[in-house]
Amino acid sequence: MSDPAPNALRRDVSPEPIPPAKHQPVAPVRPALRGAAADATERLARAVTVERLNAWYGEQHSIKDLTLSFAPNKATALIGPSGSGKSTVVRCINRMHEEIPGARAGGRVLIDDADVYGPGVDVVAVRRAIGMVFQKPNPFPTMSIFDNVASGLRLTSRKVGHDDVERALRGAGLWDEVKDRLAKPGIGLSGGQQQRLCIARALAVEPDVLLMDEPASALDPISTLKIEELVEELKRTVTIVIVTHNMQQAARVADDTAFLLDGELVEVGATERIFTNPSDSRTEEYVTGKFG
Amino acid sequence: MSAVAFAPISARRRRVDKLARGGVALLTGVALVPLALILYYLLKQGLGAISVRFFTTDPTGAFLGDPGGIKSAVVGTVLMVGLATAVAVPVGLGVAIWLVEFGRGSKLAHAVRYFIDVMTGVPSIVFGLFVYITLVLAGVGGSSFAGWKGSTALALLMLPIVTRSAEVVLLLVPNALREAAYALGAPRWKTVFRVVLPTALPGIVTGVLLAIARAAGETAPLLFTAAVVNATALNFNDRMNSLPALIFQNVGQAQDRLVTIAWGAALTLVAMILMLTLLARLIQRRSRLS
Repeated sequence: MSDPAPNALRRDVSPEPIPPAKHQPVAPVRPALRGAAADATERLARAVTVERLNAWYGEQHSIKDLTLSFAPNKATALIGPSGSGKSTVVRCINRMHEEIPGARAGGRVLIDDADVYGPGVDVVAVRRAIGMVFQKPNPFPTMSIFDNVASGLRLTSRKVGHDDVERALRGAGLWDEVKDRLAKPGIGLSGGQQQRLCIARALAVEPDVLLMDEPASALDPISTLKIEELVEELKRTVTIVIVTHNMQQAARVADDTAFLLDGELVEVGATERIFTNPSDSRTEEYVTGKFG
Repeated sequence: MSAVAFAPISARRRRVDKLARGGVALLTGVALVPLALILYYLLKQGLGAISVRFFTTDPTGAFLGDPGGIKSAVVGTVLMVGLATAVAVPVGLGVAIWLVEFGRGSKLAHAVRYFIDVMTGVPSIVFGLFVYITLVLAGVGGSSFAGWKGSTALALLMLPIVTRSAEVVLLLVPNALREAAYALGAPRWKTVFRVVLPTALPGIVTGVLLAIARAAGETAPLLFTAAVVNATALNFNDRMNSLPALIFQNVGQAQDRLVTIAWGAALTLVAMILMLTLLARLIQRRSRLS
């Protein structure tokens, strides 16, 4: 961690809120969070601001000049019909978009005021600050439950203790269910548990932002409910961007909702307003089920 | 309306079903016959030759009298195949990792894959010939025939098998796992070593074993690279005996005792490969449980 980029993306450790404008690089690991203070349930997360984002898949221009911001410690839902670019936006925030052959993106994505697409920024550092949960649960099949949670820290050359794993599993509401079988394979869990394991894995690296790409779409209603309750909990420590095709879900979990159509932002606002009193007729048609 | 009765299976379908089932069962039987016969003859002809002395003495080379054992051939095969494996597996695995994880879709990757396919199809004797001309005739290393030259021929033979099988298995590793690792901030090489390779390991081991079994049974590349000798050699720059070469030499002799030695050596070779396979299975099972 000798290069300055990772530091630039790391949030200050101090429990006091930091003025967002004066962002100072700090020690690489947040010691306060690893100790007793880590049990503090509230933590100021960082805001995400997307400015004039454009993304392409080969020739296909799938995100067009999108500007959108996500408030810290809030859950923001991205809704829209298939192909509207919800997942792409999320994948642009942690620069996973560029992993797809032929895909590229341009514009600015600010985590507080550090640009993820800034010159010389290490993508690896970006992803360490931004956690991600995928549509289908994807625990590492060769690893135990414990090792799965520890993997994020181990893959980024950091030491892992039992406490780190327990904290992450508690954070994902899975601890009581797995505490007696931490050495068992992660893929032996049910689908819903696997998804919470993946959330624990993402939380273990203590990100500032958690991106959730349709995290419950492969799960049964009860598991879905658990994930939704979890989102409420997680907001206390991270900023959440959740993609969903389920409008009831958006209404249940999100503070703010953004409606996307064909790669453009139609409307964004408080969830309640978007669902009850949208200002754009297309939003109204979508949320009332007339299309999409 | 009364409930509609479902028609029973027609007599014709029943007949066809029986015929098809019988057909595949018969074909399976046909395939098993030569396999069973080979094993039966190996045991019948070879068991008689097996004794402690068989494994602890070198062949004498005497046409009449005591023919000795096969110690030099067992040692030679283990050493030469071992060296070939130590060279071919890391290189082959490296090529496969590059093809799947880094070079995917590039022109160079296509070219490399094409050459590997060609190499897979090259008859083993050609590798032997190549080594014979470049290393044996040229007297590289101050020797003519030598164990390490035999290993070189075997490694060349194993390389495409290891690469191709590893590539196929690496391609089977779900992309979701790579994405999960990248999203956690894992660098590429760590993703490969900590996530992709462990996931693909059982398949890679199978491919490696296949290559080892193939190399251990090859005669042609060894005949004119490591030669056939009686004495046990531990120096790779010396001529080295090997089981296939010993079998080849002994089985053509008009002397029953030598032919029996060949059968015993063949049984030994099969048993060695079998044990290797079982060992690998055991290790795999243990690692999956942890």
